Amino acid sequence: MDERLTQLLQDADRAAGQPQVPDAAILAGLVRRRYHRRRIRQTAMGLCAAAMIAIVATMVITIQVQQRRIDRMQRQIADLTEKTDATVAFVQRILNEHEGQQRLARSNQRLAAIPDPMGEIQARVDQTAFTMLYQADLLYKQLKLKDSAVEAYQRVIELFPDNRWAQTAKERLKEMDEQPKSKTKGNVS
Amino acid sequence: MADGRDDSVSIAEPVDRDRERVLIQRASRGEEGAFTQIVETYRIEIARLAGRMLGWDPDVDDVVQEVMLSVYTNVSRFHHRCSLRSWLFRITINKCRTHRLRRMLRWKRFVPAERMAVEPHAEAENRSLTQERDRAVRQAVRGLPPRYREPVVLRYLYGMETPEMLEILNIRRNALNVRLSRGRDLLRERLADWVEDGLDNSGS
Repeated sequence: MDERLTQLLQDADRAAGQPQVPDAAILAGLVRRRYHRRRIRQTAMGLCAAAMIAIVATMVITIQVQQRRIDRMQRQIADLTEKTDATVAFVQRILNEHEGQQRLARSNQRLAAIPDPMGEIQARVDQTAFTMLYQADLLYKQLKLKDSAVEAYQRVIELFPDNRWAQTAKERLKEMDEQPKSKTKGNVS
Repeated sequence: MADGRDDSVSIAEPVDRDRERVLIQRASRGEEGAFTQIVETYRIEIARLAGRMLGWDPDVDDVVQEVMLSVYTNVSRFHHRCSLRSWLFRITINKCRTHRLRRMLRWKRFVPAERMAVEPHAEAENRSLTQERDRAVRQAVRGLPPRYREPVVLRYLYGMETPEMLEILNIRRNALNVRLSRGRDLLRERLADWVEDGLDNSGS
């Protein structure tokens, strides 16, 4: 049965005839041309791929360079911002100090405008001492009350020992001691 | 060229192994003459094998060129582990598979499925019984799945033994036996009338 099948197949194959094939030289030429075309295509594709890789690599490098530049600029901006903040803070401090000094100067001016209480007191003391000296002079020269006058001069000296009127009071007492004793009209005290 | 087996012998054996080795070495060195000689020696057999594998397709130029291009490109990688003929057969079968796949994809797009694998032929009334039988046989072989058609063609049209078929088809022995058996069964089933008719005639 296998032989019958073989026979059938071989008969059918033989009846189908031979396929047309080009001459060997032509076929070899065609193959060589296809081979060279394929080589050229492969080379071109390789070059294209290389070019694409180069372009992509260039783009990546460019992006990286740009990124680095951006990072550097951002750092510079941050530094500048920091310096600006420091400068602004410094200027603010200077302004605050200046304002403080101005405020101090104004305070000093205002303070200077206020009269010196010690001077005032001194003037009052001086005036009191003078008044007491005047009263003593009045007792001594107008009313001729020598004892009361002496007592009044001594009170001036006692109360205002450093005052110039105390010195005057001392001089008056000295004058009174040098004068001959005269009769006094009376003693007030 | 009495039959397929005779064809295979007459065309496949013109170059003995020593001359073949020298030819391959010359072709590997890029000698154009050596390659032309290979083409000259094997082009018809490759075309015939391609035609058989593709269902007796007369248009096998592309496949033959692809095979020769593959030989031209890879001849330096041929290490004489098998004969040049077996190597060429293996390449041809692989190229036929690729060609079938491409054709199938192309046809699926442009040709209705029922028109596929139909042999153009003369009108039925003008055909003789023998022509009708041969057409039916070719149609039956063409209708086999490629994995069954390949071993059937190699066995029945080239008379190859199992070791050479294993070398060419690059499959395991069990797979080859199964494919061959199923292909044979399918053919017997499809050609039952013709097979029995022949047996009857031979018996009578």
